Amino acid sequence: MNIWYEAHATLFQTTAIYVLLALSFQVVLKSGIFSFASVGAFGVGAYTAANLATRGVPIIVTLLIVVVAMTAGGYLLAIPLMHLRGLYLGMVTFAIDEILVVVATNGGKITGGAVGLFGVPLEITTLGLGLVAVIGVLLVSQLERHSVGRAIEVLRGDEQLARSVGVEVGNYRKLIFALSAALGGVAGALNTVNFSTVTPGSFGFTLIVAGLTMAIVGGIGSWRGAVLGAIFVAWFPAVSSALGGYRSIVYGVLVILVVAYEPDGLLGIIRWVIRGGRGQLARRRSAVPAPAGAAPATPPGASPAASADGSLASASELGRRGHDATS
Amino acid sequence: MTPLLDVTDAKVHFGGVRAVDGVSIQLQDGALHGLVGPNGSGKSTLLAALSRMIDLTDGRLSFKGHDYQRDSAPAVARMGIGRTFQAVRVMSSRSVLENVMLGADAGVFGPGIVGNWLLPWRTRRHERRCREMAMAAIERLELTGMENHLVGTLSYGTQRRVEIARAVAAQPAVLLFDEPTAGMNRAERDEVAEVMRTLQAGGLAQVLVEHDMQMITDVCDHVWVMNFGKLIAEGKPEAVVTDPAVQEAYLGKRGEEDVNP
Repeated sequence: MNIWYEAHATLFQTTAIYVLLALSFQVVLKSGIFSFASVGAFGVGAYTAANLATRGVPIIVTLLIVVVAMTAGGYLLAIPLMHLRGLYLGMVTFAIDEILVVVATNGGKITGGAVGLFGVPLEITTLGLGLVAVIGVLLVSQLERHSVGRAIEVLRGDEQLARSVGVEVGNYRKLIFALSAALGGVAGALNTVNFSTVTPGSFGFTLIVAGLTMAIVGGIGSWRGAVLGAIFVAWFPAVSSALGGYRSIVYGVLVILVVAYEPDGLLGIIRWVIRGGRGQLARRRSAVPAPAGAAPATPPGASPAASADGSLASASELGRRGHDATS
Repeated sequence: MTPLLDVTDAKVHFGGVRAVDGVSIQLQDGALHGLVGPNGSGKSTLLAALSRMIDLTDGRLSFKGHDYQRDSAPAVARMGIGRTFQAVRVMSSRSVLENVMLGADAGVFGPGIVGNWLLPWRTRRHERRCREMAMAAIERLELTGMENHLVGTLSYGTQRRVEIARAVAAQPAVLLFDEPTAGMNRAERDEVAEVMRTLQAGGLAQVLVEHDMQMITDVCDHVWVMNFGKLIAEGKPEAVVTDPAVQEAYLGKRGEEDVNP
């Protein structure tokens, strides 16, 4: 166990960093905000950490600075951006990321130019990385519960409904955007102090693809999906080394299959397996004794005729969904 | 006595279209008023303006003596003006209880996010309170026993009741219904009418936008009739249906059939 752990320490470290990056994508996508801005925050966090670490600033202080700066920066950036929806917001945040790459490439001493910064003091242990990832998971998981969870669910699905029940849609969107930036920034900072190097190539388009893959393959519905996706992306190359040259092809095909056939990602597959197992058990149990008195689940107060009629009505109603109430 | 809801000369213009053009209405506490008119007469737009979903071009909205034509829609919802929509709008993959709790949330948790997110002890207490409010609303709408059903699996009429329960759970002072019986059969419609009467008995003021005159005469004690964005008649339902201006709006001008073949 110990030898195996030592041999795979890098993978554990990568997983912790990926978990934070995947969460930064998952929180926005779950809330219906199509943003890649956390990758830009990853870059800013990475360079900030490199500069502070070489000046002897302890990692805990660096992380605090990154969190505060990225939350504030994310929130301020969200103010002009949050009226954008869908692909338009995606394009703008993508452009911001690319601008930051250019800035990093031409940043002189602070960014080390195209070569980047090397020999940043290693300041964090694998355990420390894991701890930060756990804090990130805790923060994000609390967003899925209680009133905050319900508000986020409804503001993704139906913004007008959210407003009508008193959810401050704009504030939610800004806060989630800021949280995503903070998570991305911390992931970037940890990446630098763990691998001792940062280059303009370490964020930008490649990282957007990686982050999106983790969040979507894992399942954007929950933090659990982000964690699964991060583990998948971090560990797949190592565990599939036997595939040799076919590794990338298998990886691509797996990603396509999951995205095409399971919109809830790996998390959806796991839930399906668990439910399937339970369903099997239930069927086997109900098959043995005759289901005496187990009437079909008709809701009380609704006559069978009314419910049959109603289901037809609701099917035709589906077509009317999204029909503007102000017509 | 200050009316609960006081609308003065409300106008909503979309470019050249005067969807609502100078409407003044008042709603007293505990009253159940109908808002009728032909298609495109501006009923739903007025309702959207009352709930601040769209901005007034001009005019004044007052709730319990407080001018709210500049407040945001979420703030107005928390203030005590609830509404439902023309089409059923629910979180279909969530349970009845969760959908109804969504209505209670804003009143209990308030507009803040960070506190509700990061202070678990506070959240837990609030959650209990929300659950109580939701359960009371579920009982009022006779949804008891269905708390854990997924809303998407329920019949259309039942989903409507879930929506009304969600609005009721917020304990509003006034509830605006936008065609709650659209697409319903007679039995389901009577159920909604019954619900509205029960809510009125409990002291809740309501505004009902409706096409179906039968429904209006069944439940409302006062009716506003709109056409081309203006209020053309108001009064007791029985009196309003015989009003020549109302008949003209619904049936067309006498003698028009001679002009148009």
